[in-house]
Amino acid sequence: MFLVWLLAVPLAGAIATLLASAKGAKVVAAITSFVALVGYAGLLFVNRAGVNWPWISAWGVRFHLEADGLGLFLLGLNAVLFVVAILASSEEMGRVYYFWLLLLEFSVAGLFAAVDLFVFYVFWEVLLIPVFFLLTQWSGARGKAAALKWLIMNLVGSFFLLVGIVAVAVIHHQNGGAFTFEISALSGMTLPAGAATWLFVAFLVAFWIKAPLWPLHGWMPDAYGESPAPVTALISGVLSKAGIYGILRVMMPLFLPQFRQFQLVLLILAAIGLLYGALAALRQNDMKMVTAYGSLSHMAMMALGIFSLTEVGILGTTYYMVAHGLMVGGLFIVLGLLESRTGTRTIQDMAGLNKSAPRLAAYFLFFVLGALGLPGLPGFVGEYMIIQGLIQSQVVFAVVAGFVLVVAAWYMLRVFQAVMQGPAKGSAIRDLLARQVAWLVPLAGLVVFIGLWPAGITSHAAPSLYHVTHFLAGKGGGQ
Amino acid sequence: MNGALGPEYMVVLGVFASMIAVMVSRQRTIAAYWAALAAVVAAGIWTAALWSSPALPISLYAQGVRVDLFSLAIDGLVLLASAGALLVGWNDARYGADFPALVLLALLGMMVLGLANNFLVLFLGIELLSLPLYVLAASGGYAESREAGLKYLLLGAFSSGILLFGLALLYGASGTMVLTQLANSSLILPLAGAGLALTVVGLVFKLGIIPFHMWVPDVYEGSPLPVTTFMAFGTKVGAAAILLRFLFYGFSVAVGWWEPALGYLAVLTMVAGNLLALAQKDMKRLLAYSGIANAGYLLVGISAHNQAGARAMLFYLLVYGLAVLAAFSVFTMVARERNSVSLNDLTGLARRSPWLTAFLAVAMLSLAGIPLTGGFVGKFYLLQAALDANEPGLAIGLVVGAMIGLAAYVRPLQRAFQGGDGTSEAPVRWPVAGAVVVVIAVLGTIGLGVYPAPIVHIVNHSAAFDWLR
Amino acid sequence: MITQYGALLIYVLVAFLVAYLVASSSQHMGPKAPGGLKRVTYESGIVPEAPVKYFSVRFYRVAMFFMIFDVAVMSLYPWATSLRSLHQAGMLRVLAFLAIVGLAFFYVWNRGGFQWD
Repeated sequence: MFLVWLLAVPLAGAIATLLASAKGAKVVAAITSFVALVGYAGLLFVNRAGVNWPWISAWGVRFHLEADGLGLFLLGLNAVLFVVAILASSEEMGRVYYFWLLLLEFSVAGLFAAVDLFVFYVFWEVLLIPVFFLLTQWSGARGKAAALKWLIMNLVGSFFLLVGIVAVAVIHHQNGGAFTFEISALSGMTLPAGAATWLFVAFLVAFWIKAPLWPLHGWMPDAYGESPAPVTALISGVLSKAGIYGILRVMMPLFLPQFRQFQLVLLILAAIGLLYGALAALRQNDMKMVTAYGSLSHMAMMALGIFSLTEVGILGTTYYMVAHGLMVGGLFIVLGLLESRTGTRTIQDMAGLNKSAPRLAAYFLFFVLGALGLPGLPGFVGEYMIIQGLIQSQVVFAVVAGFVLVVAAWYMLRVFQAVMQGPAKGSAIRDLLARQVAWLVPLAGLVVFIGLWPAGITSHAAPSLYHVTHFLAGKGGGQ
Repeated sequence: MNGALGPEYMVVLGVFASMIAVMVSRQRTIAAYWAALAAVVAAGIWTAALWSSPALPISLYAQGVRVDLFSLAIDGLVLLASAGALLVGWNDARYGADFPALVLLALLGMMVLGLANNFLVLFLGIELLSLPLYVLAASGGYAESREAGLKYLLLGAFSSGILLFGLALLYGASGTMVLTQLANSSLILPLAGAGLALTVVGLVFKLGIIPFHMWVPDVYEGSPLPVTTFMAFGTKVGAAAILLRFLFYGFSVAVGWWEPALGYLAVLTMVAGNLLALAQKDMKRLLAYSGIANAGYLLVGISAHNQAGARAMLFYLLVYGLAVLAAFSVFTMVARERNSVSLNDLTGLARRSPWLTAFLAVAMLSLAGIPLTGGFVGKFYLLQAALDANEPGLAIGLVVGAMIGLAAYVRPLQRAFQGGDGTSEAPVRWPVAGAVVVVIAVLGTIGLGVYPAPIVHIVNHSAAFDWLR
Repeated sequence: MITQYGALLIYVLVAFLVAYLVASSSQHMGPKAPGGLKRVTYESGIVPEAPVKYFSVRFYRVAMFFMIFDVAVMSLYPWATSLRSLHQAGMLRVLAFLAIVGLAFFYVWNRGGFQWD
């Protein structure tokens, strides 16, 4: 029942924020997200039972949620990042802002727990709406266009996903099976040869856009650039994982033969994305956009891990999703704090800020090092496992990934150096306030913790991926 | 008799009652509205009571009408539509005292279309539906309204002519006027083909399918807002019901004659209707083109030609109708004494009336097909039907149309959430009757999105075309 | 079949051709003089001095009412001819019918449909 807690609490809290006073909304939202986090602790340590209620019995749709190793830590990522993002938001945002944030937490939690394709799709699409309104109303000058772009690009993907989902269920039914949307029931089904490729593409495009992965990342620069820092942290930290998670959760059980068939194409696309993101990050002068393109490159890294079709690569991706979410979320929030103090994001306009704000500089450095994959921090573990998987399947791509790691260090340190080090330019800025440190410390601590103890995640995720990895090993795939 | 036509008699009595009420007191027109609403409610209760009647299905008047669960479902839908229209235009002096009686007459036509099993009754229903609507369209009294009325009259008469010609040819080719006997009669082929084509054209004209849609935007734009509400919901229900009945009962065997053609029309309508909706600045025109596109979705259910298709169509009619009721009642409140709402009128609505904006958002998102609203479940059902009929083209057309439509539906929302220009910051006033409509429609939309199982159960029973897959 | 009607087809074609040639000969052969008086509404008539008055829409209303009530009363003829065989049931239904028509009549009257202005 703790799983229901994770969904019900944000939903109830969302309604409560509407009833709260304009100033009290943030408090209500913070309490709600914290209560949800407590529920997650219960899920982790007390009782992991899911729910399986009939929903639309005529279509075999069941409200089926599970917290298995694949989604469990993403649910945690969701719960943690929302606490941080709500605490990092200003009281001035008004109650509707917090309403949308909590609605987003609700839908993402549902997405990471759903094991019924219908339920999965419902949450998949519902989460677009809060982000759309967050971008429309609480973002920069071009926020409206960014919101439209976000919504339309994502919905283009989702609608194809919808056709794919219904088609899979109908084909399963026409082959003599029950009419169901349960992923476990549909997994390993035989698809007609002609339809299989189309369905594969329909699913893949949706997840590809949401991640986003090159070349379908068109919405990303605008949305990341225009949104307020907490929202950016959520989009890049949590929502982007939905795309990768979808590939793992939905596509792997259904389309393993197709993955093997198109492995090379997928690897090449992901590798191009990897390079593109890294090189684009190198050319940006806007520190937020550096991180955004860096994140694009990291998403491609996760995709590479999956497409290696090896156990270690896929496990690495599962782990890296959580690690990256925490780190990039923290990084965007620190950047937001920096921007609110200096009023600019252009790196040339800033220099030597570590003199006046040493604590801010320290946290900035911490998350930068995490993002570039310093050993000891979780980014390194994830990247290491993914590269190991790539070596097992296609060595060329391991070389590319290794090269990109060097570039990643370059573009991240370039930002840090320019902004924090050197002779101070301009007026001094305020350092972090005590209440801001109060939520940055646990976040950093969590990052260090999963960096030091990756087995905590991988040992849980491995059984959930058993089906996939077993299948891969049984057919000798990727070895 | 056994009361199978009770709902229809209730509506007839309602027409008389509201006419007499107008005659008795010309100043207090509200009595006519109450009489009409009471008739609608009574008919609704009777329909619900008939639902579990063991006498159904029953054929009456030499197989002229057929009362079955399908016709009862249609009754329920059109009763909802007319109740909504009556409440949206509740006792508004602008539309004249005849408004409730005319709405009830058109309602009667829609109900007749739901149970018609004979060419004559079919045509009677179409005319009974159309004639009051011609008058209603022109009842605004301003120039655009008169233009809408005349345009509707001329083009409607034209389509009626085509329909009548088609029916005559079909009778000539088959020798029967009864829909359920058509399948068993030996048809004279070229004659029957021409008759079928003309009849279908006449019917899809009423439904507003591209390329027979030219009248829809102008008529919707010109008509008074409550009339547009009624036309958008009710006419669509009636026309879709009779088209489905005509094709499924009469031409299930000769499915190859009409299914591909209707499939192409459906795809064309969904894509082009939504594309045209993108370009609209006037909200009535936007919803008119949205109505065209939604007629295309309905046509998907028909051309899928399976039980799931009929069920999906019934379900979709309900969710579409609820969204239209919600959207139009919000627009009526925003428009106040004017008769149109443009994109600019919506600017800053969120600050003026946050709740009204939230309701509008639900309606628009339902039309766009976002989950947790009824619109999504409806589209999902239609997709199932199309794919179950092995028609991936229809499914793709549906989602492509929905994608384009989405951009059209979120634009008003973005405007509403934008900051206003400060000229009209006063909150929008809520008339009680309109508020009732919008709250019920929004709750229904969300309810159908969150827990559609009961309604799915009902439509599964009412569309029992056993001979189909 | 075709040979029998072939002659007819040729005849029809020739008829159309001749009609077309005659009708369009002036356009092909006559001199062209665009502009000037050609643009006036009534090229060869009297120049209109006041706005054109169409005939009153009231006639339309009268025609409509006549149509409706005349057709309604016409339905009584078939009943009258088979009055005996329909017995009381037929009588009752006709009375109901007349009540409906009467209600409509009074409604139109009451709403001012018969006033000339």
